[in-house]
Amino acid sequence: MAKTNKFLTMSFLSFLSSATVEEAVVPAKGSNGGPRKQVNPNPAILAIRVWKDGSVYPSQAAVDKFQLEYGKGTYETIPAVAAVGVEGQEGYKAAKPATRKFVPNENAIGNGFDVIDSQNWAQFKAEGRLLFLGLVPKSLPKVDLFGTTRFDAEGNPLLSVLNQGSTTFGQAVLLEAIEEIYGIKFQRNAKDATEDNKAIEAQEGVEFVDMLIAEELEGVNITEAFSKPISFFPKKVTRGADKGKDDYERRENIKVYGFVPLALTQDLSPVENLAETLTQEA
Amino acid sequence: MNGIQVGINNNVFLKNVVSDDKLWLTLTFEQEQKIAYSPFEAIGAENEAIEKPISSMDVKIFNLKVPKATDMKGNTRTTAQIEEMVTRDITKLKATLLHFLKGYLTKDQIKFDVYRATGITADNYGPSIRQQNILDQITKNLHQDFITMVTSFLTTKQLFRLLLIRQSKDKHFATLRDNYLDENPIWESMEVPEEATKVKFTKYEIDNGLNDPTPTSKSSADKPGEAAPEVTAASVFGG
Repeated sequence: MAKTNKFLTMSFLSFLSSATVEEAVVPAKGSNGGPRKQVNPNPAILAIRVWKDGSVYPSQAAVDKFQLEYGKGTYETIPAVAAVGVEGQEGYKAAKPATRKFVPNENAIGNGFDVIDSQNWAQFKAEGRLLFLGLVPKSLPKVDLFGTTRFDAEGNPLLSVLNQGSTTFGQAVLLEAIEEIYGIKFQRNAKDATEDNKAIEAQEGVEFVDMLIAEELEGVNITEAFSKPISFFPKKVTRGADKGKDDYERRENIKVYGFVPLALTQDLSPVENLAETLTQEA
Repeated sequence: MNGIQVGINNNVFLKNVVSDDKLWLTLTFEQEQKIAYSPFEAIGAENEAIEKPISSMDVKIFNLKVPKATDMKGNTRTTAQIEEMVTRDITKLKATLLHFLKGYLTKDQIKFDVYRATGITADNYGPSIRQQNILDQITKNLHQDFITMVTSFLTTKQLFRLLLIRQSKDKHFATLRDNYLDENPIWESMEVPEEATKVKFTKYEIDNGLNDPTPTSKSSADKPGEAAPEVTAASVFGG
């Protein structure tokens, strides 16, 4: 007569009726095992999430509508160029070594954004102040957001624009602009001054802000009203002896959008008078 | 008020453009300045001080010319050298006109038909541009296209910052810089605030006194008894 294993009975398995299975949590790379944070805004809205460290992430809807994704390309070799003329005399051109230049495929150039503080935009005439975005091809110089990334040897972008999270412009300009214009405080830890950066005081605040990319605000069609054939978008010199000096880029046929905290548009109050106060000379 | 002169001139508008039978293109610039009313005028005036141009200047761009067979040292120029010089002169003239047009138009609105009525093709380009009559037609085409594109803006009084350089250390007449205009512009909308302007003299121009408007005496500008040097695109723009 076979022996019956006393453990293999229904009473032993009765615990199954109350058992559950939890979702496995995949720790982010380089983290200490915590859950991966949602870096992008709601994929369905046209927005950019600006984090307290200055990193910026677009929504999927923004990537699709504005063609923000990086495209494939190829590397071209630019041959060396001999010097022309005599150094110190007019017309002299120094020799240039051979270089490699990344050339995006014609149908894969994609777009980025210029960020425009209306206070510094001389063509904009109004009492109020807000941020605008200009939708510009990535191929143009001095594109503020989503302008460049690195590519592998085959010309494929190493990162998607959704995950890139560049902090350069955010740290240099955007965090301070959002705080100053919209009165939002980002959480900050104290930092000592460095050679390149001033000291930072600790402050309480938010981890991130979702910034809406708005074609219309308070009945004003921003894109129709403020997109001109020729625009001079304010910039700063970022390198060399003139670093920090006022500069500009001439742009042609650029569509302009409002760039405001999503929370503000839902509350409406900070922009209630937008239709009354915003005008622009033709 | 000194008016338009060698230097950086603000609030300038292009008043007129004329191409004459010598194929010299004359650009007439005027400058808006406020004038103050006398006490009598101020009391009786209906409005505040009006703006009216108090300065006008004609700047000439000379016609394209085939360079001489020998240079100033008597060396014979090769066919390739002559073609390179003419190509450079055409490029400079077109770039200058393009630079002014970009003050008013976007790139897709600017169209030049340089080879119109010349018969020039890729195969006969070199020999063609060594013929003066062909160069004259190219000059006419560039002038006509420029005038066509700019004429409607001559009445709009759009204001610009205009940089004029001195012709040379010895000659105080104002002329236009013709090199690297994208990096070193000479014509910039006044919508750009002064703090951000890209209009400035180059180091070479400053070192060589080309930013100095001080008039020179006639004796140093023109040596008596000597014929005035032939004015060609090459002599004005270098070559």
